[in-house]
Amino acid sequence: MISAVLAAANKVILGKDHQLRLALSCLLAQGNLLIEDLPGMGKTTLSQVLARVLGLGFNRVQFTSDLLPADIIGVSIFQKESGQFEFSPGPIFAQLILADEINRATPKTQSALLEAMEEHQVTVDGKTRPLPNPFFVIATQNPMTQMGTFPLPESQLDRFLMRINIGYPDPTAERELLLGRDRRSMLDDLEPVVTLEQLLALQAQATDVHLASSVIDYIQRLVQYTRDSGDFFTGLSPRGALALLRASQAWALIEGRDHVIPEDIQAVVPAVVEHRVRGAADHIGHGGIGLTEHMLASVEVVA
Amino acid sequence: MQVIYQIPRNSLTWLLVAVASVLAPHLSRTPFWLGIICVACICWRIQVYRGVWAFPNKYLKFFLVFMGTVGIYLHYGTFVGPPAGVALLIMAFAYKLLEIYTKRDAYVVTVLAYFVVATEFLFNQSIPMAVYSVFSLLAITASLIGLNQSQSHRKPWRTARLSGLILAQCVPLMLVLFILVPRIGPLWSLDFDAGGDSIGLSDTMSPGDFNNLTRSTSLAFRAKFEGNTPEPNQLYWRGLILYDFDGKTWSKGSAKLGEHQRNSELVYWPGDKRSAWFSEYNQDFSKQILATGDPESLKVFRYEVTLEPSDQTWLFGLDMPLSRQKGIGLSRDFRLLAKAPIDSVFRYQAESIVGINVDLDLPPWIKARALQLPEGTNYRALALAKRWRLRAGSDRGMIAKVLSHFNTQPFVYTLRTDKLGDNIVDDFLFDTQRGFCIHYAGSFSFLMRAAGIPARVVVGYLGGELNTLGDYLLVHQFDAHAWVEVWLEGEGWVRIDPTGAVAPERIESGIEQALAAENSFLDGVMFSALKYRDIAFINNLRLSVDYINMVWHERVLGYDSDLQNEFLVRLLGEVSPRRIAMALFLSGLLVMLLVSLLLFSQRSRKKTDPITLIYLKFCEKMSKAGITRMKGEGPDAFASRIETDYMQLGDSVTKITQAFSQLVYRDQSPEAEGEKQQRSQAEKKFKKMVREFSPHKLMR
Repeated sequence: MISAVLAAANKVILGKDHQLRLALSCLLAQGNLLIEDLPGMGKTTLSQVLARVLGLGFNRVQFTSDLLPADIIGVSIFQKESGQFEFSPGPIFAQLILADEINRATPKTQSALLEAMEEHQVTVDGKTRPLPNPFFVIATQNPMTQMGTFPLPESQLDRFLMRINIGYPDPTAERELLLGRDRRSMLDDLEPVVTLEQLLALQAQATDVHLASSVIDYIQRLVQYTRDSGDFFTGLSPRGALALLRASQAWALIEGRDHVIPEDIQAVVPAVVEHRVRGAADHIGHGGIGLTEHMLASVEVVA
Repeated sequence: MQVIYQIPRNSLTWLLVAVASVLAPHLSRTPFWLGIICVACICWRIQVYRGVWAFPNKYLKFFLVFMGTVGIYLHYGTFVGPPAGVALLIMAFAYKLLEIYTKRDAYVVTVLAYFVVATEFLFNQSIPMAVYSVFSLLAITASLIGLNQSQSHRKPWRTARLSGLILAQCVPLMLVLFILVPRIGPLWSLDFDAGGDSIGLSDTMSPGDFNNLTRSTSLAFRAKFEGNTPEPNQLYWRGLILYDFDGKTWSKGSAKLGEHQRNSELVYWPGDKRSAWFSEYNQDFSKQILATGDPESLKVFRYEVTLEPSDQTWLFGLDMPLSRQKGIGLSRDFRLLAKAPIDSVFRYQAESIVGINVDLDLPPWIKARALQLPEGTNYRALALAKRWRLRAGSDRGMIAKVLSHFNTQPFVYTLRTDKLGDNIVDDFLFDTQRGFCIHYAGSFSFLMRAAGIPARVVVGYLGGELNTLGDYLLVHQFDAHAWVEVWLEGEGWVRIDPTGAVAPERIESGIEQALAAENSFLDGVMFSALKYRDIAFINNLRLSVDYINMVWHERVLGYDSDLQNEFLVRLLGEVSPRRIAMALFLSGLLVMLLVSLLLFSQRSRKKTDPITLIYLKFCEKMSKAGITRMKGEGPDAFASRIETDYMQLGDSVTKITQAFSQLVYRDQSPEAEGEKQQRSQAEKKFKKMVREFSPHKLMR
């Protein structure tokens, strides 16, 4: 079932198998995903593809600097006919939200979205409305160094289970992309591969993936390294450790195993850890890019 | 373009701290421009790191090195010997900072820094220096650790803590090596210049001398007596005997006496049988011991002296000394001598027999020297001496006459003397009448010689301060003293201290009491704990510090082959190379074991499970075959690497890895009895697979 999802997605997104797997495992671990890359790298396409193949309701919000919380959540509008206020739900009421260029909006609007991500509900006019289940947010952002961005603070970055970069495609994949059909029309042809029930079952299955004690030990060693080695300005929080655990479970599920092995952890470490830590020499907050590679090489796997 | 290696910032910080701390103590000895070079190199290095300046190019480097080398040659006149050699080393060391292009260069600098630390001990071996060196070592080790940390590591204190931990682990091993490694005398001898002028007695004496000494609070030597310590007024430490007086200055000897002078330098070295005068001296001893009938009545003092560097060969001993230690000679005038000038702390044992008479028969050539007088000076003193001798009737009477003259006439014991004219004896005796030991001893011997009594001036130290902590004497430079020995028929050489006739308290209780009235003791000395010895706390502190110093000298610096031998005999029963090697090996092993146990207990708070241990054994087998699992490489990744690189091994490695993975990472909550059995079977199978696994066989 999972391989079918991946196969379908790979047809549209060329040469990005690893990123697709990460994105999928993020969704299976019930986490939100942050994609950081330059414009035009296929961030939006990736999220649309995922929505399609998983058969999820999809809404897209383009974040701008004048976007307000009500624009996302929705407003109550007075109806002449009934003489009452009626809630007109915003784009957030969908199973999969694509928050495009999240760091272009003001912190106020960002936090409205982030609250929804955490609580899975929104409160408008004193009435709490639940969000659909499952509920995912895929946010994209431009690299911090670009103009006119409001960087997400650490506390909010922490809410994202993973942050991935898509990166340039390799020449073969790019050639195929140039010669192939228009991606947008291909999207329309994509059929859902799993039903909603199946997806919920998969999420439940992911939490059941077995974690042996020596795997937990390994996670603890990794977390300890971020705190002790001196490479990092701040170490990984317990929430970060939990995220690492959940992500590796989902990854193991995608790999078709009922138990986690160290390689699963290693596969998700860059995506899970890098946006939560900051290098000791990094004063503007790029995140621990590249440092995790050094960390993985320095921490003993089997002990 | 050449890629230039950047030292990690953390390491560079420590490296610069280490370099600065290593160089600092040397710079007080080296020419000042070397210090400027060192500081400049450090600054340049910092600028290079900041990217402001470039590295020097090779012509500039050549020029700098050439000029520096020439400068060192001009300053020292040689490249041989520790001072010049160390100066060269320091210069090269500083320049190397500007040559760190690769990681290897950085290592070279750190290793050189360790070496430079060691060279400092050529010049200074005191406790503060040792402590300081530990600090330097800490910084160097920290920079060495820093070199192996990642570029982004920014926590220098953490690095320092690790360095301290590593050094602390070395301490037990250091002790073992210090105690057990055989001490071999140096295969070459180095000419150590202790640096700076060592203060002390000189081999001439004229009025105005001693002024520096009486103001100096530095230590001359320490003496420890076996048994009881003699009375303070018996502590005449003889150092040097002056025969010749030219009207102004007393000195050791002059060329006028020709061959006799050479004879006077006759020195008996222990084991030397040809020395005729020494056997005579020995016979004298035996005769006198027999004559008294009771050897116990002659007081024998045994003592050990730890002499500070003096740059002179003479040693100090009480009347009449003898040392059986190798390398210590006895001169014809019964003084102890060392073979070479004392340029580092020197320890010797000696004994003195108080009350023995020596030179009962005075050889004529010594008599001639002891009667020599300059011609055409000090007429009034000459005349006076002749008159008194006639009136006194005997040599003893003459001595008593002069002493009572000093005592009854208004002579003053003072350090604030007036300038004396050409006839110093006349001027002193008849005009100024103010002076201290030199003046009294000098004029007294002059009067004796003028009266025909052989006399000579003895220079040394009188008294000493008892440190009750270690029960030893501290003799300072301000204890310097001069007195006289006269030769009397039937009695031999007799010690007379004319200063005692003027200021008896100088002899009984030291120079401080003698100068109490005019309050000139340590005049002009500002910062010395000795000056404040009235304050009990400071005085105790001073004595304690000195005690620690003495223990340091005796136990640590003085731990030479003799002491080691003695200690090892006590420890091992017998000293043979085999036993020492065994002891070294065993204690080294013990220390390593203890340290590793300590580390182990810290690390393995959680026990590794047995299956993982077996897997690690498998990894070890692979490693022996040349295929090592990297630290961050998981079992699966390792297996697939082997599979692609070493096809022959692929099959069995995959099997083992799978078995391991199943056993360790899969859910193992055995519910049914059957599953339990299954698991133990799987474990056994895994064990067997690893046991039978042999990469060598498979690769063949």
